[in-house]
Amino acid sequence: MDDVVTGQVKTLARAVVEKVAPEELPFFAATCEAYFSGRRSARNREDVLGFGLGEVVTLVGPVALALATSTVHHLAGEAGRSVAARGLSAFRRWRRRRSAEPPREEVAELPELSPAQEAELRVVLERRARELGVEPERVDEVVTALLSAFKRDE
Amino acid sequence: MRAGGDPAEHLLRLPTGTTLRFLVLLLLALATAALAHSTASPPAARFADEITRCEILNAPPASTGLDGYATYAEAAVADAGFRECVRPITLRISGYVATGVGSLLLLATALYWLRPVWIIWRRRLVPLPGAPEFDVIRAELADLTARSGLGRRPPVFLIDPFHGRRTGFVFGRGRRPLVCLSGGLLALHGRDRAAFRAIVRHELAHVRNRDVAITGWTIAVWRAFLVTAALPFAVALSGIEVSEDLTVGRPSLDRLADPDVWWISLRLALLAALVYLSRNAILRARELEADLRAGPEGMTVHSGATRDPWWRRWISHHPPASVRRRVVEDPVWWARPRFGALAATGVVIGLVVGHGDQATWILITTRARLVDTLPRIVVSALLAGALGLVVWQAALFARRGRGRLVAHVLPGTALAVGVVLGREAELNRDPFVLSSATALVGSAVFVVVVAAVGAWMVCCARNWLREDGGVHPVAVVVVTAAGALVLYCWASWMFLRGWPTLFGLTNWMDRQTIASSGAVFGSVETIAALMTDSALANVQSKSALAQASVVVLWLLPLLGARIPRRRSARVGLLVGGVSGLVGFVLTVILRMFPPTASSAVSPEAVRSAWWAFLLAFAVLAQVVAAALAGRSAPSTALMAAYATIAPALVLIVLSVTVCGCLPGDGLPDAVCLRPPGWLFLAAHLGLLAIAVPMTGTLGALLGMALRAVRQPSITPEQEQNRTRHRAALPLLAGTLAMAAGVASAKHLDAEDNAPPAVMTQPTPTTKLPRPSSPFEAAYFVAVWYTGGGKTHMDQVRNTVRAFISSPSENTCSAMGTATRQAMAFARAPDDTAQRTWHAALQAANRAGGQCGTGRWNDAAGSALTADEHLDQLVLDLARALTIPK
Repeated sequence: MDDVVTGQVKTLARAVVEKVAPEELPFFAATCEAYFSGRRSARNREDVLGFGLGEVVTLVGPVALALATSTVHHLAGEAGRSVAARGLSAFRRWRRRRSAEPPREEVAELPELSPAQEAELRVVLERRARELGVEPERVDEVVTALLSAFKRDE
Repeated sequence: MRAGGDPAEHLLRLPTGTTLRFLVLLLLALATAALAHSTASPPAARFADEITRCEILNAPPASTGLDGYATYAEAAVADAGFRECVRPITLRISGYVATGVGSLLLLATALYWLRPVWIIWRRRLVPLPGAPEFDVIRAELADLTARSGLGRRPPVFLIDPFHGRRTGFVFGRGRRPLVCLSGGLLALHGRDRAAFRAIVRHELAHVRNRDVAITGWTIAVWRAFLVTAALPFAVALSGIEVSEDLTVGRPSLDRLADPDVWWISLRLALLAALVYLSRNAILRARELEADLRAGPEGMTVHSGATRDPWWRRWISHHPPASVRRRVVEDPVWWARPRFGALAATGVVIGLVVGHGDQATWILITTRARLVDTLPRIVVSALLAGALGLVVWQAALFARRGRGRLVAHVLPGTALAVGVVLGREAELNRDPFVLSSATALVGSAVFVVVVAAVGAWMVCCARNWLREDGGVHPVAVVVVTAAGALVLYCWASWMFLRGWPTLFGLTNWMDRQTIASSGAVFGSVETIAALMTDSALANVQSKSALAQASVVVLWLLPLLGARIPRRRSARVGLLVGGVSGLVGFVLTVILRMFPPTASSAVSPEAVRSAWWAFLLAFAVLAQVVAAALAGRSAPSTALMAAYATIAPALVLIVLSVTVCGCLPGDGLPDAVCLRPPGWLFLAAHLGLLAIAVPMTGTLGALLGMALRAVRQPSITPEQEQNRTRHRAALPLLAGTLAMAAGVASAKHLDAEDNAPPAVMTQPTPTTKLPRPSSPFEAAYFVAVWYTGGGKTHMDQVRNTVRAFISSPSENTCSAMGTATRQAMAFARAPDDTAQRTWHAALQAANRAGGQCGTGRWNDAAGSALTADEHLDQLVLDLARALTIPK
């Protein structure tokens, strides 16, 4: 995933978290770091020397990142991205980690959506949200928050 | 910070014993690994044959007869020549054991060090974010860390932003603990700060309780055990042979059909299950300790928890929410002794001793005395250590007036029952082998002794608890050491079952000596001699001073920080003083009017009277203790029992010292200072010094039980406690009954009365390789003889002689049957002996055919010929077993 796409994903996801789960904002950057390093799901079982009684909740951050990724891929498509561009982006990310530079804020420009695109995207996102385990009563809230990010720049 | 009188604070200052339970599991892994490698290594397959070969080489001369070989084998262990002969193979096996255990430790160390790295990589854990939005949480964590007493060396925090459960967990290495907070927990900070703080405090409490290192090591060692020990053991059980040049054979179907293989496999599976359940039980205990340290804030989190199914409670790392709430609300309830946990610890201790002892048996050639002694010292130290740690919480529980009797009795009883069951569960034991009347009694005595020692240690602990609930570390050491010494001095009782490797802390005693001592209570003097001989050897001295030091050490923990100054103790002193005075007067009278063989009072009568006097003393101490325990604290009762006996001991010694005796004056041994009288007196002193305080403990417990029954009215809380502890008593009784049932599954053990047998019985084969030396030739003959040859020889001889003396259809038929069975047996490996044996069988077979067709005269002649050949066969075999040294 190149820097542009990464930026777009982060921007979209952050918009969702801001609206739906603001309590996750303090560690949203860490969530992004884990997500882009390969983490996709969590094993919610009890650990040795854990607390043992914690309720399980569906975190919005990882879901938002996954939905944002689906959105960006749906809109732009993976085909057509050059291998060289992807490789260059990966090299830049590795160099930043080695030099311990703080990650650059990905300022993403989001395309405008036509009503037809928005409707089509809504269907895709709602299905994807249910696949990711979002509670049915929250699906609409999450998807709406994500789609509203495209209207930010207006 | 809690107030000084907070029971939770009191509990947190006391040792709990969970670290020792973890360490015992680690020891079990090492001992079982050593056992696995000693039995599964390539040279081990030949170990039994090597034993027999070396017995042949070092057997007594042929003049002792063929059976001399069989009886020699039992004593071969003590023979230096035999041990020198087996040294090469034992050293090779020792090398495999050392390699196996070393590889386990190496792998465990690697797993311990790599586990944090793996967790961080696997879960993509990240450090705390540097974003300004996180500053509030960061400050909260710093505050909680400082309040938990970890400010000087705070743990490192990581987060798992994908983990939705509102929890955290602690991992890492001892000096570098890591605390991982889940995304669900971090999200909780904004909604319910109190719950967030409670959960973080709980995790920090794990760091404060030093749970990270011991848990990490336990997990690492057992995973390493599965790879480096359990797997090779399973391969060996399947019959796949791996030679020393690493050539791998095929699995043996015959071996897989062997019931012993399945028995051992079942025990291995049960062992793994025991360790898994024990580990989880210890983890649950550590969770409760963390809850206690974290404080009551966590109760708000517990209240919303759902109820787990019953089976899950056994395998979960965490206790049920109801238990966690109860512990926070009522910490003293958690301090109650728990039978299951203690018994499981006892089982593990029994397995540690059994497996360690079996693994070190192959070291028979080197420092045999040390090899005999070391496992026994280990079990004494582990038992006393376990007791020495758990009695403090039991003392606190009893001090609060809740279930005093159970708090005193349960720790020692549960541990001892566990040890007995653990010994039965050893991997290499035959099923239900510990089954005889003697074994049952020995086990019961063992349980009673350890229960009494445990009760005495609880009494001592109650005296040493401070007002703030804490205890000085020196007190823990003193009480534990005294308990270990008392257990040590009672070790001789275990010889009665031939358990030298469990409790024989003194000289090795072979089973001939044990068997000759007769039934358990057949001879009191023999029992006393056995015990006191051991006691004398234990203290390495035959002086009364050594005995007195044991007496003082037994007394010391009773004194504690607060010396009881109660009238009851003075009553005991009075009773003891009067009794001692009576003894002194009797001694003086005997000196003035010594009995002789011709007088009305014979020396034997005096000796018997002396025994009766001592017995009466023991009973008196018990009665005093029982009576006083019904009215006051148990420690006071014990002090009184002690005060009963101590002055008497002093006065008896004084009387003998003053009176002395002259050679030839005819005084009985009991009152003489010179041997054997001195030995006899010292023996009695030893008996009194060790046995009477112990029985005083039993008397005190009896008094407490009677008091509990007599109590006319009790508060609702006391009633509730009594109900719970009544539930514990049937459980205790049921477990004891079950242990007794298992132990009595087999009837009288023939081992106690049977003649010693050869240690190994290799199976004779019809196809033997050509012997490469005279030694090997004799070895083959010995294998044939002990593996069935002798049995068939005897059967044929007996039936032939029966026919000769009383020819009939029945004796003819019996002779024919025995002959046919012998003819189907393997050939004798020696050519000369085989020719003789063949001739004997041919003659007997001919006789059987002749008597079957009515030719009785011819049959009698053939039978006589067979008998002559059998006489010659004995000489031929004796020659074949004689080899030059």
